[in-house]
Amino acid sequence: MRMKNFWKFIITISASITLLVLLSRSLVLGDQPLPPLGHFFNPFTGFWSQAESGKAGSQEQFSSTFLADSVHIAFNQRMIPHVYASHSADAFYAQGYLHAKNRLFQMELTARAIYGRLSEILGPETLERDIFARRINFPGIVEKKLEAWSQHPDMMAFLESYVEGVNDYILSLKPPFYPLEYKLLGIRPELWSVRKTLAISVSLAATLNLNLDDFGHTNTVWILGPELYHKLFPIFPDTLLPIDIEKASYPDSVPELPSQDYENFEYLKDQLTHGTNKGVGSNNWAVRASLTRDSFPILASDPHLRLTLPNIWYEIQMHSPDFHTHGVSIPGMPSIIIGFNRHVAWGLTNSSLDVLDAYKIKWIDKSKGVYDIDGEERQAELRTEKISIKNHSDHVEEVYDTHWGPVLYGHGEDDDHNIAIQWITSEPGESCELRTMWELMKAQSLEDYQEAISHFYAPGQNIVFASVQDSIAITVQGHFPVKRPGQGRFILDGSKSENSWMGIIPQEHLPQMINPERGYVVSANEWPTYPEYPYFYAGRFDHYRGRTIAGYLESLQPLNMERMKDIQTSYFNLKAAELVPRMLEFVTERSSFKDSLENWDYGYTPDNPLPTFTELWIRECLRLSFDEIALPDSMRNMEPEEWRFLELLNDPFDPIFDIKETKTTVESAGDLIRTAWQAARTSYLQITQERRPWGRSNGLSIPHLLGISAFSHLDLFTGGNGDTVNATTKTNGPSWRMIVEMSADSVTAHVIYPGGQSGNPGSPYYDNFIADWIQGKYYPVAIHTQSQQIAQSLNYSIYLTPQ
Amino acid sequence: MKNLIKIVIIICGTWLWSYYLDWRFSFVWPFLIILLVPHRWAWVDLVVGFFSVFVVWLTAALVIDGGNDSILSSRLAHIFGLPNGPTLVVFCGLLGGILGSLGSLSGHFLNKSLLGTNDPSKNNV
Repeated sequence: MRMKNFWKFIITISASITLLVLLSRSLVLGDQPLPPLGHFFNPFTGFWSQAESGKAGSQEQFSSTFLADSVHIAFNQRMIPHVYASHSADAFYAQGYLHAKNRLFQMELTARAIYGRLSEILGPETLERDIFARRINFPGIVEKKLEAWSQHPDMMAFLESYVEGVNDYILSLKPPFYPLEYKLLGIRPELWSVRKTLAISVSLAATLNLNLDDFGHTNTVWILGPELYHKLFPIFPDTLLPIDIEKASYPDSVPELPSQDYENFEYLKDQLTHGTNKGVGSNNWAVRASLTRDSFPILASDPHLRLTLPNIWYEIQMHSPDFHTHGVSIPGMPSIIIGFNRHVAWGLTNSSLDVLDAYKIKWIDKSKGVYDIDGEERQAELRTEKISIKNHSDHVEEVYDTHWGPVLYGHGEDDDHNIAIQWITSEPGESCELRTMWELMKAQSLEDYQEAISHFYAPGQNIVFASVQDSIAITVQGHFPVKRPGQGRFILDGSKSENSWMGIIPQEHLPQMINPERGYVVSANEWPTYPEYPYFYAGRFDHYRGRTIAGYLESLQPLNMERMKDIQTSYFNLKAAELVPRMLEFVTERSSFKDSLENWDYGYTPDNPLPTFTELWIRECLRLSFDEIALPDSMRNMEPEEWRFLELLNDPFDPIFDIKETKTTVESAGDLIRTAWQAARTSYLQITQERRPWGRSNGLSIPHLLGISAFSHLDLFTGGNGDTVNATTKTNGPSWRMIVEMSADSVTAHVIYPGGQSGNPGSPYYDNFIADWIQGKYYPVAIHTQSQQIAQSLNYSIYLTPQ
Repeated sequence: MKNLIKIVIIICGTWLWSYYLDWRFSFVWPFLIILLVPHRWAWVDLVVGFFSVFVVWLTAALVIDGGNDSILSSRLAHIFGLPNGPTLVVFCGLLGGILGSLGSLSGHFLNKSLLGTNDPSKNNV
């Protein structure tokens, strides 16, 4: 009997141990890696700890040796923290604490992306990204920024206070309360550091001004030859409305430089490939009191970025003896990036100027890293990067750092793609963006604004400004290299030192407008100036949104908050409005479908199927017109913009309209547009009736940072595209909408962003703004200098106290 | 009656200690209790172990899920291929129950193999 029971014990205990081991290990379900299930499902330690309940009426206490004085953080019903501190350093400590409490995983993931350490936690899938981060040497740029910021000890003190706030929160965090993503990945949070904050700022620059179009332009000029290339890719459009329209104010004492010589690209024996991102854009504008109904200046700002959950922004109101400011911050960075106080408001759009140039290295002995500049031998430094990969052995990447910068692609003996890059972000000089943000947070006048922005170097931004004193301004702010005409459009010969940049454009020569006669300033990633501006620049500029906004600001006067909201959420597409009627002139067919296009208001509303057809038609027209630029799929090329296609239509018999596929006939623009019309009709009719409305074929998806669909909002019913002021695409959109009315009595704003304050998918505040954002709703905001004044208070507070 | 007391002891012990100890404690605690005081029949101990820990995991999950309006459980249910949040709560309870039952069963057989018999006068509790 005893023996029998013994064997039964052996069987049950074996089964138990097997189960315990299985539940202790990470499993894979389909493509989805799962965390150890025993721990994960345990209601006391597992994911259930992230199932947040409401916080109304509750209080939390936290004490720290770092604080000089107590800080009170009161939340309103949208979970927006209002930080009340007696010292600015304490306010930044509180901001760090809040960022960590709400967005810890987002911060860590962003910093890891810059350090090329994603694969360490995510496996081989992110190895390419890590290799890129290491090759371009993002971590090296962090070190340079640290040097630059160290020259601003007062700012470093704020940053250290912020870092302390983050780390105090992390250290207080017990494993059951690690954010869900840490549990899913089976990792623990890493401590924060000054360097990681700087990594976040490098990440912003990488998103906004890391423009690798030089590769595509070089491929394209190879295919087309210089003459046709310049015809298809003029730097300025005919109908140009730049940011700075005051030609008289352009600097006039700038020496003229000779054009860049590419010597038929003799130094480029091969062609290059690389993808790049498109669709990062933004709007901002400010109007003076004279144009508004209530006689207050109004400022509007909506940066368009790739949308994720959680959102890139974290809304916050901060009070200290130095400032009373409301706006959005970026988790991982102290300060408010876009916002307003009781005197001024400011907003940002990306300047889109090309600040990255590529250089072909002429090796003398590649294995030893010896290369040629001006006939002299130079020695490249070999950098060895070791990348850890989860559940795999390490990857080792060797990179040469040259005079120009790191060799971005190719290191193997057989690999001829030896292109080094020079990127303005890697040369911070003495700039400290925190000083800009800090000074803007406490700015009271136009002069304060000008002083504040002068410390800002990259990513170059169009910084708009308005004050209660009825001043408005816009500055194309940043470090922009002085270049020869044409320099850096294509890959440059790296064996000639004369191909260097010639300094940076002086601050006083940057395009800017202050209180212009027309009463408003506007930017939407368009050209900063007319061609008369004496410095050469190129870039990827938007031709439609800025002109649309300017049109509205002219026609909708007197302006007020409601009209500003209508502009920000407008689906009107100027590109379609200019192109479609012109293209329809060539369509001979009579049909109700054509009539509906003719009578259309060019609104890219979600329920309308016409944008779906229009985009197909334009795409087909461009494909057939520019079929000269035929490259293998693996090669990246550039395609002329729609505005250039419209300009070329002025001569319908231009040979560019000949369709290469039809070898025996020669087509005109009319033939081409009709052929494209038929092709687009066929494609359109192949789409099922339900999928034809624009919102169905082009709806926005907001994915979770790890792409977990259950934590994402996919296929939303949204309108617009990159050319509408409400620039919502499948992946990008207005990541923050803000409209501020600058009344001297009380500055008030209307704001919203597509997400929620909490980064926790188990929180009711994870995605609670999305539905309102899609509907174009806003939330009213005011500066509350005392916590008792907070409108719609949640009666939820955190008290940070000195120990 | 004694089974009821065992159930209460396992429930209270699992609940209290789970705040401080690893999830594997939901296996260890019923194992220890049944090892000390087994029933004559293995299936009775199995039911006691299963029921007790099932109740603990299910109730704890239910309380949290209620406060959260099933926001998290319904999202996670998708990841695990379950139809909705409540199913995930039940799944959680079942997982606890299985741990409890295996613990109690192992305890039962270890006791029997060490002390020997199924003598009702000794062990029929």
